[in-house]
Amino acid sequence: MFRRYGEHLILSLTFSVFVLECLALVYLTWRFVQRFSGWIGFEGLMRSLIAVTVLTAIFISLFMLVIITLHALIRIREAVLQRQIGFWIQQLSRNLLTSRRCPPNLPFAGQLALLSLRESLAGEESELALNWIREQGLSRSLIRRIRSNSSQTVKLNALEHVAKARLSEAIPELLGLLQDRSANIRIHAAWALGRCIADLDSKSNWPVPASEVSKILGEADLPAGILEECLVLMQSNAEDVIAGLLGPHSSILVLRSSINAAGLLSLIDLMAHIGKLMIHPEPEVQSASIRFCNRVGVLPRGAEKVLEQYLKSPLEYLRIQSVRALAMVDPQKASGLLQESIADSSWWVRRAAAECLEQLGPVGYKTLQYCAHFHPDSFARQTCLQLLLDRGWMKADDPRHFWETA
Amino acid sequence: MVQEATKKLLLIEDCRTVTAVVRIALERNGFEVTSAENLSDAYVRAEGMQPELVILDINLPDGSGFEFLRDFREQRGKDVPVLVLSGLKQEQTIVRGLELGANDFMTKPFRIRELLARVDRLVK
Repeated sequence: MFRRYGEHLILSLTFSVFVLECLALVYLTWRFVQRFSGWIGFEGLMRSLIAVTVLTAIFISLFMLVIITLHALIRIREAVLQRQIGFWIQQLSRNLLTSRRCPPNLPFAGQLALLSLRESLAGEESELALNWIREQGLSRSLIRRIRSNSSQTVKLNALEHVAKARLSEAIPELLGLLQDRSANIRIHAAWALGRCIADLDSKSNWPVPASEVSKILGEADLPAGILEECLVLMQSNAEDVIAGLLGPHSSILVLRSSINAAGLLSLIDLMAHIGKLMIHPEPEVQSASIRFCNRVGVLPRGAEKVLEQYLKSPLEYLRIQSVRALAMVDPQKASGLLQESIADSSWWVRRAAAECLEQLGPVGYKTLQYCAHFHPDSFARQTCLQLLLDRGWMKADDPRHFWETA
Repeated sequence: MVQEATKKLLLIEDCRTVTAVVRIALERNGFEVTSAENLSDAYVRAEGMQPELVILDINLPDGSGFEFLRDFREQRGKDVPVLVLSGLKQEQTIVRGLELGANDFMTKPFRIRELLARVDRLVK
């Protein structure tokens, strides 16, 4: 739990002090008008001025006092809670491993300790902790809280706890929250959804079909990184959801995030879907598809020609990914293409080309040595020499190195 | 698991839930567990004991567990097995841990039985 309470109190106090100060200033203005009109004397004005100044000082002091007290109370409350959680962690861990029974009616600290146990463990003990969470009525209460119209703080805490508990029964509610007006709620719901889906043990017991999850995720207004993270959190259960997101109607952002997540999870079975996206009209999708191939270490059939074409693209990121993918092409052919890319105008492409040559084995090493000494482009020679130095295949005092760097 | 004579184990872990579970599970299996919740504490604890096994987390509040692993291997050689127990699942993290001399790697969330089996194998 990382969100503090008391925001409403601070907001009301700030508003009250502001209103009182405004009233005091209005009063003071009125007294000045009276003085200039000759209705009151100098002494009367001074009395009002001093009274307003004293009142302001009292308001501000009280305000500061309340804020400081509130922060102190929050810290004390947090420290007490942490101590109680520590106690319950010990108690519940012992019960989990020995009696396998949960004490009835756990207090708040006990519930947090139980959620923490569920989060840290896998397997049999984790399932037992989940059963305890259900027995205590905690799962129902969390779902009720994320469904309710309570404050954002309450909802965010409940979402965090749902993610820790990995509650499969919360999935329909989490999908609903992906349409929430608040971006913060949508993001936390996506994280919780990823973790809850990761915990489903087989395809048959999904509370909502994978295609429906894909549809809602695809329509949710989530930042690219969050969508990618949500899919990665789904782990081995992500494949069907990602497959559903790779359809022709998905936006570029959704396609890019889904392809990246597939690559990070090494979902090679999605090659049939993603391989086709190498020729998608959008360069970001093309680049993401090639990066996927680089991550899983396989190129689809006929990809060589596409890569060759992309090596001439004006977009640096596309050229970098294409150069890297040449490590999976026939070494003889790749080394020929890389000799051209190693003279690219971008340092990143040149470096990627040199590293790719290194991965091609003896053919690549020979090309790297040749390019380091005889390539007509001086930047290409420098890049190759640098890589040879980095890998210890050339000594720093080699006269050819001096000659090139001079 | 067979109860054996007390074996000393150093557990370096900042999450108190993991510490509590691992401590209780291992103590029930005849280990004497000394725990440290940060890097500086870990150096102090390691100095004053001869553990038969170290269980090490990577993300610690005052540094990386890899630093401890490297220093521990430099000072004590490879006699004491080290089991890395981390929430980091990336390939490069696992490879780095093994390169620095870890004997085994487990990711969190973890299974208690699996942990006990791995610990048992390492101390044998």
